[in-house]
Amino acid sequence: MVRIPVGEVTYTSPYIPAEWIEAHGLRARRMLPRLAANDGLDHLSGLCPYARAFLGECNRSAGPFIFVTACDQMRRLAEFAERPAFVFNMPSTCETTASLRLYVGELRRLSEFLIDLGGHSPSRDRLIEIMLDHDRIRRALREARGAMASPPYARALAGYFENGQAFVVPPSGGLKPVGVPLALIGSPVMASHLDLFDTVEKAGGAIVLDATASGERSLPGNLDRRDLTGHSDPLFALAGLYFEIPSAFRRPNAGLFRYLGAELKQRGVRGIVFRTCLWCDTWRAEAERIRHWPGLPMVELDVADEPAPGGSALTRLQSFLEMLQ
Amino acid sequence: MIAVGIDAGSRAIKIVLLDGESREVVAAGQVDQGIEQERLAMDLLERLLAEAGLARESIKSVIATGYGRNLIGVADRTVTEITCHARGVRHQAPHARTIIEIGGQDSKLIRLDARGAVQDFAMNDRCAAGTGRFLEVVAGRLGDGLNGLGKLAARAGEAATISSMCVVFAETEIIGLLAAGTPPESIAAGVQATIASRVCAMAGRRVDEPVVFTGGVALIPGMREALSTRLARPVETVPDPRMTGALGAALIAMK
Amino acid sequence: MNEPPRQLTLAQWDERHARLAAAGLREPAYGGRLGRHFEDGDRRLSRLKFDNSPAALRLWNFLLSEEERLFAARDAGKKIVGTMKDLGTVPVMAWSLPEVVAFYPDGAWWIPCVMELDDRLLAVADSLGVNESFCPVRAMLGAFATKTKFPTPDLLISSVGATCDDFSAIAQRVEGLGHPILWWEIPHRREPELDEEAVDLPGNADLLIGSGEKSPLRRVAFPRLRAPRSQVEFVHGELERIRAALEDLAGRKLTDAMLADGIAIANENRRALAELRRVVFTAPLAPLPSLELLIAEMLIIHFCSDRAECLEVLKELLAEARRRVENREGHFSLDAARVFWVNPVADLRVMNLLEACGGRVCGTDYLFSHALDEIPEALPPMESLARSALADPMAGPARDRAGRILAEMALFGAEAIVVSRIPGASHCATEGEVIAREARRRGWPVIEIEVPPVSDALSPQIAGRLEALVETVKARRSR
Repeated sequence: MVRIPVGEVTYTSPYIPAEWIEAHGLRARRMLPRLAANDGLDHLSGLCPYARAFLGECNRSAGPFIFVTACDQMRRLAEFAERPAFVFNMPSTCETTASLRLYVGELRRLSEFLIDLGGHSPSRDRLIEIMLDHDRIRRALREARGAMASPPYARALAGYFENGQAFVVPPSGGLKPVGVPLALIGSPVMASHLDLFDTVEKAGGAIVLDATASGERSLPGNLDRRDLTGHSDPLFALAGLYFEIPSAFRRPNAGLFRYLGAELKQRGVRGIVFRTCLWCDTWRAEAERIRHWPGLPMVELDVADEPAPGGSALTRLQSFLEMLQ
Repeated sequence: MIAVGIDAGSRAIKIVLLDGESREVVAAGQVDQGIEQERLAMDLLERLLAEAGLARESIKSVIATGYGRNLIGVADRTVTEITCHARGVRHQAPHARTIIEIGGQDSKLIRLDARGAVQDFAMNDRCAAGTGRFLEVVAGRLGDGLNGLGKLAARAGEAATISSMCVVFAETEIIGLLAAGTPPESIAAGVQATIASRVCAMAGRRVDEPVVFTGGVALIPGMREALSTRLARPVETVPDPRMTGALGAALIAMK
Repeated sequence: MNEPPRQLTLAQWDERHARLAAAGLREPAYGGRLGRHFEDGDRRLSRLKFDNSPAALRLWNFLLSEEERLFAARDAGKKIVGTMKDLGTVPVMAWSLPEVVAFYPDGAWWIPCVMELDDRLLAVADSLGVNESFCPVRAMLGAFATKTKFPTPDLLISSVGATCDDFSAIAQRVEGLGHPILWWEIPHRREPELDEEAVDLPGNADLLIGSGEKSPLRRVAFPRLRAPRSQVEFVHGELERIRAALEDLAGRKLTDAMLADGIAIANENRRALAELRRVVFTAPLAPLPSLELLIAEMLIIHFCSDRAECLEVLKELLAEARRRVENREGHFSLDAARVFWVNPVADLRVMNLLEACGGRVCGTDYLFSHALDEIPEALPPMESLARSALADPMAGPARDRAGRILAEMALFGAEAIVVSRIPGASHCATEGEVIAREARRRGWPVIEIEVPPVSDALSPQIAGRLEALVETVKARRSR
């Protein structure tokens, strides 16, 4: 049987390293999904809109998808996928070496899936080369953060996720975010909702920290080149970086609060936009804690099945910013 | 002898009197639902008997169905709306394989086998977004009656997107759409599409044809078309779809 | 003391209790009138109907006295371990240490129902930002915050990973209240890859049904649950962390021999329950109502804080069920619609409602079917426990769960399925759909209902659906 190489593998979780897929000779596409009307999923009542959007994208696409078990809906969505899908077992626990080993084991299992799709077994040198490329892009993105308005910065991050190694960091233009500095915390932002950043600007604010799973929080830390020397497997260094990405679903999730504590302070955040998808228990449960813990004013936005942010979001944000100003 | 079917629905009480031999409808009528529903049902029954020139003694059996069926003391037996609608539709459209019933406060999707017996069903009785109540709320907001709403929708060039899953939020959304200058015609069409979408969600991916639409909402212009568009299949209605449940109850009472 | 089976109201039970006591009924220390629990605040009892057997009386008294038992254990110097979410594995380990009492904080789920919201646990959870968009297990957060429903545990252990987000998120908030949790990972169970060693999990046994005389023998195939060796070893490692924590708490070794004894006793309980389910679900007339069976099944998770007594309670129920079957006695009519029930209900009254609508329960999946299966005794105990944990229906794909449900439907002769969605539980959106899809594919009628902790306002709608399901089943029989 002739194996037809499949060029692109799609996923949305930050815990799938693009480097690993690219080292197999395939294109890694970390997608921020779009909600589509008439997606044929109305019968799955109670499905979180982000999970729904991702499943809809999967069923409209021709290529293979990766579902990551970071939440209980994503964990089961592969059972509704109409094409080959890989279920990646992402540990929730994050303080044991056994969990890290499980994560590495899953990356190795993913490798077999990628090879079955037409990819090739990654060489050590090629993997290191790609890891260094990504590290360079991510460092450039972090540097650009303070010199770009938040809407183009959000789109630049989305562009990196979508294009991986091929992404070129846009020139910052030397423009600093203007407006009341705000942090965006909560469920990931869909591609169809990226206008949220413009809406915040229109209301007089600026997202200086996007701590959603589609924002900066989901970027792994900087690579320490010393981890790539000697004969050690670079996969361990790669896994170590991605495994450390803090999130609300990790147990315990103290790492998320350490991250937020440091970043909120460093960026002079004056208010929090806390945005959760309907049915996203993981984030919703943290709302009250985040409201009180850093001592910052907070506005909550809900994301339901609407294809784009509604007018009520603008009104709510305007009121919030009037309050802050 | 006469068989009587009483459908004590959430918005109206419907009664059908059936001739036990010819299976012809002798009389049928409805009255708005109220607090004293048994009295309302009895008054309606007496009126229909009088109009048909029948004595009370001619009644062989009474079956009550609908939300308030257990409060109809005159009934010999109660049967659910699912079974009664299926029986009524089997009489009116024997070929039907799927029934969509949208009433004032709930909606149902019933799958029938080739012989017209209920195979499976789904109901929405908690969320008003798939019911006639939604249409009433919108008609009130647009300042038009239910029939006017249907006519309005028929004139729409494009249906507005109403995304909220809850009628209360949808009403807020409609206020926003009106404020943004969206034509009422588009809003009305958007509401019909939303209801159709919610109802069709109950079907999942399996909808067997022919599809028959019953319940009071089937009388509203444009709703049948909205369902048909959403299902991408033809949808039929039956004569006087409000009475289908009561008719089914009367047919069961004949047994 | 035996009367023909019937369901009694609380007041009727108190009258019967007086007669039984006068006739010399022997009860355990926690026995007595059921009405006393109502007087202590369990108000929902006045709206339930109970089986009239002394065995059922013992069951209810055992259930409703757990709080007292836990506080007594604390007073007696026992170490108290809250075993959360895994529903059947860690409790077996904890109970293997004589100094330790394990309980199930998740069980707070039923307190708002039993107390008709007077407990205010849900209101407390609301005030902590965990509102009705979460499943009723949020009552547990209220219970930890108010510290009134159980003694503060000496150790909290919770599984996480392929569990449920509601629970995990709420447990995280419990930890935030100052109750440290030992989190252990249960990975999403998957089929072994071609190059991986496959390990069979408990619950695989195909069963032969039929007497061979009146009804032909036939084999009911249960879906074969397997996991890769690497997953079993991973869970084994996680359970070793728990073993170490339990040893620290008890101040002594938890040896394999102690675990093997613990497993044997757990299996004795599981065998009694399995036989009780078989007898009740397959009998032509229901020897016990569904509510009592639901309570009996729940005992198996953690033994209601007394492992030995739990076995006695189950054995007495089983004896009563057998006696009634032999005497051809039972509840409801012979033509009651035989319904398979999926997921536990937050409001116990709904189980009575099904029966009032003409149905009876013949098969259940309350999300812990792995705790109904015996833990293999021929293997090293930690290996057995790891395999048992991985067989958790929540850890695997929903289609595995659906497969077992359909097999049990065939085994118990069920005719329809009720999928009871747990309000706010995010896993129900996908699981329920898979189960319903698989059932419809085989031609079974399915309905979905959603039951909040106090469902009185929704009773007419729920009853309407249940009645319609019963009518559908009966109409299918006549075809």
